[in-house]
Amino acid sequence: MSLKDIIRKITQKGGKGMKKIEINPMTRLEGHGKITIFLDEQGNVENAYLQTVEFMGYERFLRGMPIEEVPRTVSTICGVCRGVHFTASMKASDGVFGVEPTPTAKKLRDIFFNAHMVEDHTAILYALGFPDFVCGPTAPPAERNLVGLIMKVGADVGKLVLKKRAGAVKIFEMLGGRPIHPVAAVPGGWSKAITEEQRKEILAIADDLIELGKLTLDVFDKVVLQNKAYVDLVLSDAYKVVVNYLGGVDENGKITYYDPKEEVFVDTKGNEIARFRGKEYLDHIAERTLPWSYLKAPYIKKFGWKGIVDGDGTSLYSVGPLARFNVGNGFPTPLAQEAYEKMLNTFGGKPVHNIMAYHWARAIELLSAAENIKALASDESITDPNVRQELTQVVGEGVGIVEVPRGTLIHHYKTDENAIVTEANLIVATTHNKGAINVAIRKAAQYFIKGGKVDEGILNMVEMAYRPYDLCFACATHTLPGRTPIELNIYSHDGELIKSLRNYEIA
Amino acid sequence: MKTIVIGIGNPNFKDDGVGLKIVEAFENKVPTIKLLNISFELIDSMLGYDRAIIVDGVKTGREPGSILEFTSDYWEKVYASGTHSLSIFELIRIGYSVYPDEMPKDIKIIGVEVEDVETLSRECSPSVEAAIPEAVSRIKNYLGID
Repeated sequence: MSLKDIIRKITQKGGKGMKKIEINPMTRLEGHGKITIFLDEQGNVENAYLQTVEFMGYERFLRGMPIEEVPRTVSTICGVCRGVHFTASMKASDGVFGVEPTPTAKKLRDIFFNAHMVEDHTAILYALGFPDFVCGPTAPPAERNLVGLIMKVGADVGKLVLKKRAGAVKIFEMLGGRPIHPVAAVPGGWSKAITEEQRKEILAIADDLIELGKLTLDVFDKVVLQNKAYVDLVLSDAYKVVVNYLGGVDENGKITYYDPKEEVFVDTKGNEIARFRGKEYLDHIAERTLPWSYLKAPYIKKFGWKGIVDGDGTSLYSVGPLARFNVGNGFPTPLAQEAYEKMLNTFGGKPVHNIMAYHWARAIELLSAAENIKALASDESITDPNVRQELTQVVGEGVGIVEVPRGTLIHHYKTDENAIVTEANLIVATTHNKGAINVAIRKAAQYFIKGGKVDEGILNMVEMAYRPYDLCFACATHTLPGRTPIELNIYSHDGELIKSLRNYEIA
Repeated sequence: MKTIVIGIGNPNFKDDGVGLKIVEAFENKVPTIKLLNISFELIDSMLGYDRAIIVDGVKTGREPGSILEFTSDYWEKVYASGTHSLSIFELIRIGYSVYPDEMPKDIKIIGVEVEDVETLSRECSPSVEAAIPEAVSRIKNYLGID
């Protein structure tokens, strides 16, 4: 059965008002995300789907590769996520050799990863999060972007942000060992120690990054929190998705990124559902293949598949900054903790289901990651040359779980006795969020499309529903014009294509 | 004139690596850099140069292997919204507004039309591979080097 037939089948209804939905096969070759919206007879939204490209190719690609080579290879999956797949696979490689990295190696990896958090969060916030607020969601696309943002906040602020962010890239490259993508991972450690001079340099940069974090929260405060219209947008039902949450915590239950002690699920009321480590993820996460998408939708196994629905009792969950905010009991560093408490007080408790708050939580995490770098680099013992454990055995299986900018990332490998990969399973943040993103898009579409009235502004309103999650399904296709191309098609109740919108231009 | 040649692409996804392959022809001749994606590093890599040539795969619907040259006239028209990716043109505009004195005055963008950027392979499609010498030659002419 073709995709077209499958979609027709699942969207057809018997009897009166039978739908005749025609939908083009997904343009997989072009690497598009495609949103399809179906209207009912009254012209209101009945359903909406996001179709995306699957991420399975890399898993096959990695089979037959020595596990030591995997981090260097997966760091090229995507230039945006260059640090995240690298880190998760490096941790998994420790497991394959049954080895714990030395304390110094762990700290160097931690600094490296926190630097990556700072650079990535900065890019996301300033390139996609803030423009909606600073320039206004109804501003024309030509203004509602980073250029428009810089025009509003001033070139001086823009320069400060870019210069300070470059400091995070410098740490990333200094430790990672290569300017473009990191290579320093070795099972059980890190390929090189740092000098006292480098430690001091990292420490100095960390102060700059803390300033960047404070500045970013200040921008958020001034442009969003002090503007009632934007606070209303943050609190709007159009952008509220009530799901469960998954995030990693340290031994004190605080939000952490590189090496969470445990992953914790909380339900829609904030009650703990489960916690797990490593391979136990298989006991808690199941994946549902969606007939209309190449991407599987994970759900909480013990709740059973309840469909793409939110609300109490749903089995969908989301990951990322807001999920971590909802799961963790705060941050281990003082300034981030202060910002966490402010956000908590503003919402009057947790969990927060307003997805626009993802951007706020992201800004707090930027500051937290900067503070983490400072705390780690303040430790003089970090220049210890003992950065590598000796490898004595091949256990043959390893799982690396990291809390990356977009959420929980799981890399799971099985190898043969020579540590050659035989099986690989990667669950990326956008996959965890698949169900929640679909709910978000459907809700925004239902909120903004009434009585069949569709105007150009709907594209941005729907885009705003997925931007907080910072979709990352364009790993394979960054080619010009250099952004995730989205096509939005709206069909009437009788299957007629009544509107087609794109966020890209065909030259 | 201080010039840098910048290649953008993912070496693992077939034609997506074409910009990187073209840039390899200029290594040890002029300053070069390879970037995996379009991000703020593009701005950082250009600062302090008088001239920058950016080479990337493009997808415009033309015949695979077609070589396109973009100038400032083009990027003014580009719709500059995005998710986590930024457009080259948007970044250049940001670069000029934030670092007016440090950005190259002369920026040329060479695009090679891609055919397949999804198959995991480090080899380009034959049509795209065949375009590499021509793209290299055009850049050499532009730079005035052999």
